[in-house]
Amino acid sequence: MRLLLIEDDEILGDGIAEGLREYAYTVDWIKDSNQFDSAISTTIYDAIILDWNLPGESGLTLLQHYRDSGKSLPVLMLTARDTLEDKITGLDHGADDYMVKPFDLDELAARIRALIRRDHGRSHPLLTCGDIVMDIARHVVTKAGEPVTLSLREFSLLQLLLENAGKVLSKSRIEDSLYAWGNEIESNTIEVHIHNLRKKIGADTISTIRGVGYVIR
Amino acid sequence: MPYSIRQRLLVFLLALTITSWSIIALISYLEARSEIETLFDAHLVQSAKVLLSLVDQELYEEKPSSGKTLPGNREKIELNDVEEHLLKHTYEKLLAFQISVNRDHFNFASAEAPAQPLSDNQAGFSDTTINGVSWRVFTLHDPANVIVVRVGEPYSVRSNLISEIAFNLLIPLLIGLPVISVLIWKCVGLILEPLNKVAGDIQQRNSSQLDPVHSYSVPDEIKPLINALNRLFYRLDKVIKSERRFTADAAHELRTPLAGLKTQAQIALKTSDPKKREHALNNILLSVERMTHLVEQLLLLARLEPGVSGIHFENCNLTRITRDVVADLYPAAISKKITLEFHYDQIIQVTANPYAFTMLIRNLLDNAIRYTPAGGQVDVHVFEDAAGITVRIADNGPGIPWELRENVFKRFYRAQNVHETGSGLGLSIVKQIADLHHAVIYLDESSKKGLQVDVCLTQKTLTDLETNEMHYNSAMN
Repeated sequence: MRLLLIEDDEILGDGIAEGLREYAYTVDWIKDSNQFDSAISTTIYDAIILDWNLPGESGLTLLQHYRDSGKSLPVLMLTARDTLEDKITGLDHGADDYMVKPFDLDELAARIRALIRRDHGRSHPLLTCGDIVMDIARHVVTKAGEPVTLSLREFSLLQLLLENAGKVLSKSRIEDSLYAWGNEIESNTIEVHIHNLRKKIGADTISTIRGVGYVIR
Repeated sequence: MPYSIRQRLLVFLLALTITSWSIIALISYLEARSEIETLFDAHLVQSAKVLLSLVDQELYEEKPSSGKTLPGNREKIELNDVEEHLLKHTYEKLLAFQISVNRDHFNFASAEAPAQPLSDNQAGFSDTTINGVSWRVFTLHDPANVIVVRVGEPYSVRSNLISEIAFNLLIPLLIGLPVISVLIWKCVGLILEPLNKVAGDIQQRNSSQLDPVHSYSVPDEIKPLINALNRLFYRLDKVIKSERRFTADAAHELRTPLAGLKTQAQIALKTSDPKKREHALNNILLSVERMTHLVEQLLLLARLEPGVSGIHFENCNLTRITRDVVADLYPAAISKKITLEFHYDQIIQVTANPYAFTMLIRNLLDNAIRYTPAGGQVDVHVFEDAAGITVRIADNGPGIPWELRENVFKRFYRAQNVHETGSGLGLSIVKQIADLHHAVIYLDESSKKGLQVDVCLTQKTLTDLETNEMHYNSAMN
């Protein structure tokens, strides 16, 4: 799952990005609204975390323009404004959720999970496929009731495949979702992760469609 | 005392109507009465003359040669003739007459006439009361003084007519008064309707609706009130907006570093990677430093608040204070490859608080170095001219757009497109210190298209400043 974070404060931005990486999210962090358009047009994101108070164009205006252009990605707004009026303004401008600073990192992660889940049209917090069950919130995967230990990347890869169960995902789509800008990726990185994942959850769970990509059934 | 315009108008207008109507009625009544008196008197005279001529004619036709003695059997005939000749009048039956022929011989009288003579033989009008009835009498003689005619009329006849006229004058007033009252009430209500509309409009507003009240449908007399109200709304709106902006900005400046602290602390607790933990802990330290700086600036602002005691003024060397600040910030300029120059002609002494004034110059110079791009130039001048003493800090940075200059001194105000970190309080502190020293700050475009800040001191004596300080203190108490 790849997130776009727009936050001008160095320490808070670093904290959110680092914190969410602990939850197996891939986070791209930009510090003002100028880079927003290029980020959103070159990369597929699952959700956006937006600070209201940005230098230059404010987060609110940015959100309004984004919604006006017909885009529907879930947006969570971060702000220091805590009055009822502000919350209403934020939500009415197209925010899907709203958190007042200072917030709890776990709550932020939970709200993002819920936003993405809703965006994918699910309401059940567990992802299942055959005898594989993934609990995103608790970061636990079981196969036939037995827990499976996965690395962060493997977990993200499995989550991506499960979220898109039945759909074939290309290698570059998987790379996009797993690696933020500036991460060096070897040409066979994804193959290595798929190989490791197959060893842990069963070889026949993930199929390779030659020349196209991978699919979980 | 509260009162209703509608009720007052009703009472005043009714009182005015009643008074003016009463005066008109009184004048009409008096006029009518005098006319009636004249008319009725004329009638008496007329009747007396007719009677006299009739009697005279009768007497001389019957006995042209034998003197004026009338046989008793002719009495009735003559009387009937006389009555026939009298004018028919509504009030005629109340007209009484007595005719005497040959002086003191009482010959003829009408049925209504009393037994006693209505008057003595004196000719002309007279009044008399007989048996409780007041009479108006006209007495007439023939030229020979043989026949005396007395025509009388009870006063009640004319007074009845007069009171009838008076009553007729009052009836329209009695009928009209309730009608007029209702009309006045309705009209005043109609006139006051726009006022009620405005009141309703204002009453329906909530505290955040401060847009102007429309005045086009309002009477001219109410417009000044509406205009004053709108001006008040405008000022209130400005104050509320600026207050709201201040709280939003303050919330942002205070809560963002706290949010940073919290997330970094959570990462430090959560992560198993020692490198990440160290990074998070360092960020926590950095956050605490930033918060400390912010708190210090807030406290400084609080201490510089007018009326807070403990700020003393002394004679100090402005040239030296400025030079020390320049020296202090020199390394920062060097690291940004900024050329920092200090110019002065002479040693200038001022009365100031040296610590506060150092802070003022430091904040301004720090801003100049911060916002001037690498390789730029910052010049500091201290000089004295006819206008007073000036510390000028000029740079070739981006400057401050004219329309924002008013705002930069507000607390937590941060211009858009500014990426530099800071508390947003620096220029507020500068302003506060300048105010304490009665110094004026001018923002202008420098000769190198950057920003030029002039701090101008009109030199005051120590006692001036301290007197002012005491004023502040007593004003606060």
